[in-house]
Amino acid sequence: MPTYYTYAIIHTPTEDAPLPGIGLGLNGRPIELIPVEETGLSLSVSEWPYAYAPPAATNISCILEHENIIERLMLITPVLPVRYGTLIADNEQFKSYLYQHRDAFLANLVHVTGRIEMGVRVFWIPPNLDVETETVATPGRQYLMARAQALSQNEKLYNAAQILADQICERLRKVAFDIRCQRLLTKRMLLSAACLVQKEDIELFRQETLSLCNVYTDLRFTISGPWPAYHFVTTEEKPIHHDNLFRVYR
Amino acid sequence: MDLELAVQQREATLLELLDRVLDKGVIIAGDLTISVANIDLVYLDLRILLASVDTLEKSLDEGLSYIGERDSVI
Repeated sequence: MPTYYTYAIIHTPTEDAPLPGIGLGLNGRPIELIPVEETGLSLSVSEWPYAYAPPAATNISCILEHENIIERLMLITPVLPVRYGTLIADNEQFKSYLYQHRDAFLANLVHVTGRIEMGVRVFWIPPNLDVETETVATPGRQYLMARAQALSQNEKLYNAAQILADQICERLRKVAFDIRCQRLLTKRMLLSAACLVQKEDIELFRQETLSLCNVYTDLRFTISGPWPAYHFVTTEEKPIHHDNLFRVYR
Repeated sequence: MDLELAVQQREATLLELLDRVLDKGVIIAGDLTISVANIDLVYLDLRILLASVDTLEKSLDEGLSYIGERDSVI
């Protein structure tokens, strides 16, 4: 039974709209499609001769090649990128899995059609938060007071970040079809946003980010993309909305 | 753009890429995959990668940085 290296889930090409050639896959292997009947879905793969040994996660050239292949696919058809380094061996079992989740994957494909992902990160210098101090008598009390102060500071930081990040997300939302936001992934990273943007609106999105940069002059913005819609794939088992996810920096 | 900034931006783009390729995308159910690259060993802690992005950001230009503007990957 052959082993396959996986790239992306796509619509199964039809006779009316065949998939044009997109060149070779990882390690120069041909790219093939495993269609799943009655779903309209296919998995793009390459046969993988190294059995149980996927490419290493440290292999930057393989990672770049993997991304490059997905981007080439993305130019001709909507894609749901599969996580790097995934090998499958049992086609029938895989087809059953795809069949079982067909509605979610088809909905994802509709969601990303004609759109790309742009990344925005916003950095700040956390404000110096005034925390009331109190003279303490014993080491135990001193420790507890320090813990209480730290917690209070975290909460204030959280609230300040939440307000600022929400304002920026709202502005980005106006030029994005969908958005995933995470706040305070690190102490300085106020916001990390993945935005699903109409292909024709990329320049508009950049302009909006630039205008945000001019409004919030104390913040630093970085923008990246266009990317395949990595943040906008899911199955029924994994909720699609992460807007409320807030990781407090520790 | 000077060479140093170009190198920094390339590194930043690579970090953005790693953040997506190694941590996002479709996860095919574990019992169907015979193996997934030993990402956990490299991607030990998301914060390590994010801290790298954080560090790189400090060295980029003031204002807005287009760290991923590209025709194709990097």
